[in-house]
This record gives sequence, structure tokens and C-alpha cells, in this order.
Amino acid sequence: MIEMHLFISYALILLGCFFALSTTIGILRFPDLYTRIHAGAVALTMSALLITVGTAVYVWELFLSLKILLIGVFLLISNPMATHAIARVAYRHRIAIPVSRDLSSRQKFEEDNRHDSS
Amino acid sequence: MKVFLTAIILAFTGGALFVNLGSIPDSFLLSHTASRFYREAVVTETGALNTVSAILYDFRAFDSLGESTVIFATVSGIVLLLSRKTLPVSSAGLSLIVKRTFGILTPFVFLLSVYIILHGHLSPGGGFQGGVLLAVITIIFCIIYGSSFDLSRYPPQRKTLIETTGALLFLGVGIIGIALTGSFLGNPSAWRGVPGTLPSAGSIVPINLGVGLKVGAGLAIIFYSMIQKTLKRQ
Amino acid sequence: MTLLEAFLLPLLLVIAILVVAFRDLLSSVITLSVFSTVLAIIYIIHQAPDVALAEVVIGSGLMTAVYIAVISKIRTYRQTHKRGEKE
Repeated sequence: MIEMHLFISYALILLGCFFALSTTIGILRFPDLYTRIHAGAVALTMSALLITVGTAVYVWELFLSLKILLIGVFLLISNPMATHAIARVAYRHRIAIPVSRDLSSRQKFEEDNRHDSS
Repeated sequence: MKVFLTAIILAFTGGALFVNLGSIPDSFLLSHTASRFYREAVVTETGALNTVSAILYDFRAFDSLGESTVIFATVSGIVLLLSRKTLPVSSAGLSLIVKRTFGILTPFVFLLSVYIILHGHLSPGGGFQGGVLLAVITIIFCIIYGSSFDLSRYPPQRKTLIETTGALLFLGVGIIGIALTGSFLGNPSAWRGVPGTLPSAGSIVPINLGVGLKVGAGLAIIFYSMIQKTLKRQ
Repeated sequence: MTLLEAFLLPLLLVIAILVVAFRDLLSSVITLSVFSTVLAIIYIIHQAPDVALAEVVIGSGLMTAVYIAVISKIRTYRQTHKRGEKE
């Protein structure tokens, strides 16, 4: 029985490590700031959540597990919020221009900025 | 030439530090005098389970008083240099999603800081760490909600009041120590209680509270007076 | 010396060299907060949670905010100064 929950926790933590690795590869390989923070938002939240749940299963005491799960809930709230703030600031202050092949979204970006600055 | 001179100075300093490392007394002396005394006497003499907190706020409480005086001097200097009569202009802050998320998260930050301050004698942490977390709340207010929100909620006069209250609490505990035990910052044995419970450890808990209020309000004043004129939006 | 420590101590050295080597001040400050986080993990390995808590809160939380405030203050001062020279 004890072996069983250790096995589950190891599986969860390994899955979380896989998501963290894919986050790192995504941040290194994607061409643009927006796609990079997309990798940082989605996969990193998933990996942090999986690792906290795995740790909560690993310690297997009621109050300790609840505290660790609370950390996971805070990560679930705060990481997408930080990504949203970074993307919004980068778009509005023209720090990074989105790379795209079609001209319409590029023109829309220019129009938004002209509207902001005027 | 400059790089060569820098390398010579660095090598000389490193060599001097290595020689000093060699002349530290051997581990027998270190482990059998002071640290052994602290290890054996910390529960019976102070009632605290956290040895670091007991040494900082009981055995070496006078040093902690000096440290908080240093923080007070730093706050005075920075406020004297940086504060002008200009009101903060920024009221925009970040977007609505960030504001609402921090509306959920900020009470938990406050709860964690109060927990760290009040459990300083039982678990890792203490007045200094919890106080810095209290100062982080001001940073959140200034960056997320704009510094006029911080001005309307916690004006600098109230921060100064909190800081002075902390310092006076520290000194008051010291004077009560004179009255009850005969020495400044002494730990009165009537307050000690059962070691391991929350109301125990004598004068360590009010000293933790005083240091926490003082450090939190002091660092908040430093950050507020630094950010005051920079968040202006064109 | 455990395996984690043997990995973290050279990483600390690399991050410290990066902090000095960056020419951009903002990158340097952010790398300094990474340095504080790695140093806090080493403190926890060495059984000093008090110091680790202080290092995390001060080094990677408060000092980063104060440094960024100072850097933005310097940049706005430089911009207004340049604008004043041109006029």
C-alpha cells in the first residue's frame, strides 16, 4: 500500500519534469516573445501543478498535503496572470512586434499603436 | 595594466583570506564552548524551540537593537535624500485581471507574514523575514494598483507611526526586562510558558513583533520614497 | 557533498560571472535574483531555513524591486536630460 502511493507520486513528478523540459525547449526554440511566453504559461503551469500534486502524494499527511496543494493553487492563479501582464506590456509599449506572415495582423498592430499614441 | 593591477590585488586579498581561514581555532574548541552552551541551554533559559531566533532576540538582543537602529538610520537618510513635496501621479496600475488576481493573493501574503512573525520562536523565520514580507505588500500596491492607491490606503505618516511603534515596543520590552529581571532586555521567567506552544518564550514574541513592524514599515518607506516620482505616465 | 550541491555550486559561480558580464543593467538585476534563489536552495541543503527565507524574500523579492525602481529613475533622468540638451 505504501509502495502504491510512492509509485503514483513518482509518476506525477516525472510527468511534471517532462512538461518543464518541454517548456525549456519551447522558450529556447520559439521565434517570438509571444510564442515563448505561451510556452512558459501553459506547459510551466501544468508542470508546477503536477509536481506539487506529486509532492503532496509523496508526503501523505493530511495537513502537510493540504499546504502543498495550496501552493499549487497559488501557482495556478499567479502564473497565467504574470504571463498576461508581460504580454500586455510588450504589446502596448511596442517592446516586441509580433512576427507573422500575413500582413493583416501586422497592420492591425500598427493601427493599434497609432491609436494608442495619438 | 589596470587588469593586471586588479588581478594582483584580488590574488593578494584571496591569499590573505585563505591564511585567515587556516588560523581559525580547531573544531573541538568551537563545538565544546559556545555552541554547546547554546544547544543545551536554549530551551531551559528562553523557552524557544528555534535556536536562531533565541540567539538573535534573547542572548544577542542588544545586537538586534543595534541592527534596527541601522535600519532606522538608512530609512532616515533615504527619505531625506529622495522625498520631495510632489504627490505621486500614477493611478493607472496594470490591467483588471492582474488587479483582481492580486486582490485574491494579497491577503494571503499578509497572513503569511503575520504567521512568520508570530511563530518566530517555533519555526524558521522571525521578525526580520516577516517584516520584509510586510514591505512586499507595499511594493504590490505601488506596482499593481498605482502608487496613489498606496498613498490613500497607507499614507507615509501611518507607516512612520507603525515603524515608531515597533521601535518603542522593542525598547519597552527591554525596560520591562530591567523591572522584572534586573537586566536590559532580560527574559522574565514568568512569561515563558510551556515550550512548543504559541504563547511561550517570554520576551521573544513581543521583540519579534516589534522588529517585524519596524522592518516592514521601514522598507516600505524606502521603496515608496524611491518609486514616488518614477511611475509618472506621459 | 551531495550530488545536488555539486551541481548547484558551479551553477552559482556561472550565474555570478554572468551578473558581472552583462552590459544591460536590467538583465544583470534579473540574473542577480536568480543567483539569490539558487543560493537559498544551497542554504536549505545546509540546514539553514532561516537564512534561506531571508535570502528568498530580500534577495529575489525586495532588492529586485528596489534595483528596478532605481534603474527606471536613472533612465527617466537621462531621457529628460537629453531632451533638455536638444532644445
